[in-house]
Amino acid sequence: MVEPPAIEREAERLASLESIGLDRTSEAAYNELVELAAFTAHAPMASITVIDRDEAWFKATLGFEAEGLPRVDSICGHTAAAGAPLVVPNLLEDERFVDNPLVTGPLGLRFYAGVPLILDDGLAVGTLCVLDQRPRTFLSDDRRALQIIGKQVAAHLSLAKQRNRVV
Amino acid sequence: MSSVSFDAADPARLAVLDTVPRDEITTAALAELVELAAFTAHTPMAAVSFLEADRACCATAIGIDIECVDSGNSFAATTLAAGLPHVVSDTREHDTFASSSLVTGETGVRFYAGFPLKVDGHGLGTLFVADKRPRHLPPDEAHALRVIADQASAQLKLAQLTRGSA
Repeated sequence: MVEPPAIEREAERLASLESIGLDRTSEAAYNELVELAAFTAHAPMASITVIDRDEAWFKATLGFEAEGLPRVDSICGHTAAAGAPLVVPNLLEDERFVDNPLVTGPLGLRFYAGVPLILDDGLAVGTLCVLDQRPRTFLSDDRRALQIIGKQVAAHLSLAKQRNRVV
Repeated sequence: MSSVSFDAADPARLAVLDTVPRDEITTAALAELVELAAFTAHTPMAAVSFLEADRACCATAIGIDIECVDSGNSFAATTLAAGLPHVVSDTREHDTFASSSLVTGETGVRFYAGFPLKVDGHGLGTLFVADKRPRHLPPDEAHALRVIADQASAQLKLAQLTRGSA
């Protein structure tokens, strides 16, 4: 297994995450966006994953229930580090993920498509991803739709940051 | 023609509309949501329109050339009057819209589904999808479009907070 690479400007990125004041409480806006991502991608699972110092935790999930996982095991950690969309049609065929617990464990993931959640400062605080237990293709339209929804999640995070500042 | 019990010229509503900058950044964000709406509902047309005092104007659109229509028989005014998603499966069977230039003109809208965009409790405009043929809107697509419209409202609020005059 290959752990996610370190992220540049990590201290600044964690400060940016902190300034959003995001907690693990379920919030309708984020729940609706993971639902929308799953619907448009015809995927059974989706999540908004926050890449924190040591943990990748879920702000919202659809189709599975989990609090989070160690950042080193997180596929989304790779997406955030790259700062670019990551699509893996079959996780078993990618050496970075073939022995990842998300793939070998009970969740049994086979397909992953994620986009980074990048705020105005250019830093990725997390990801929006869609998941499946079977390998699949992801067309350019699907990718485009996921990117647009990812930008909406980022807009909500910016709005939360903005409101934090006002209060 | 049935009348719409919605005062587009309500000063309180227009005052809120003025606080939202409809600049390039806002338009770009709305354009993406319009694209997503058309993709989600599989329609050739989609747009965000703002309702001004006497007309409704598209800020960004796919498949629609008309910029502004009279607010009297506009889809936007009707949607905002209801304050709820408004679906017209066949415009030709609908009193208010049969005479709209979007229906009678080259655009030839037969199917319309509009969703209110609200900021500070006021309906400022709509996000809508449309088709040249009559059709129905399945509940899961309607739900997805409502979520997309709520995102458009959030973008307007973000624009107001970050670049607006409020």
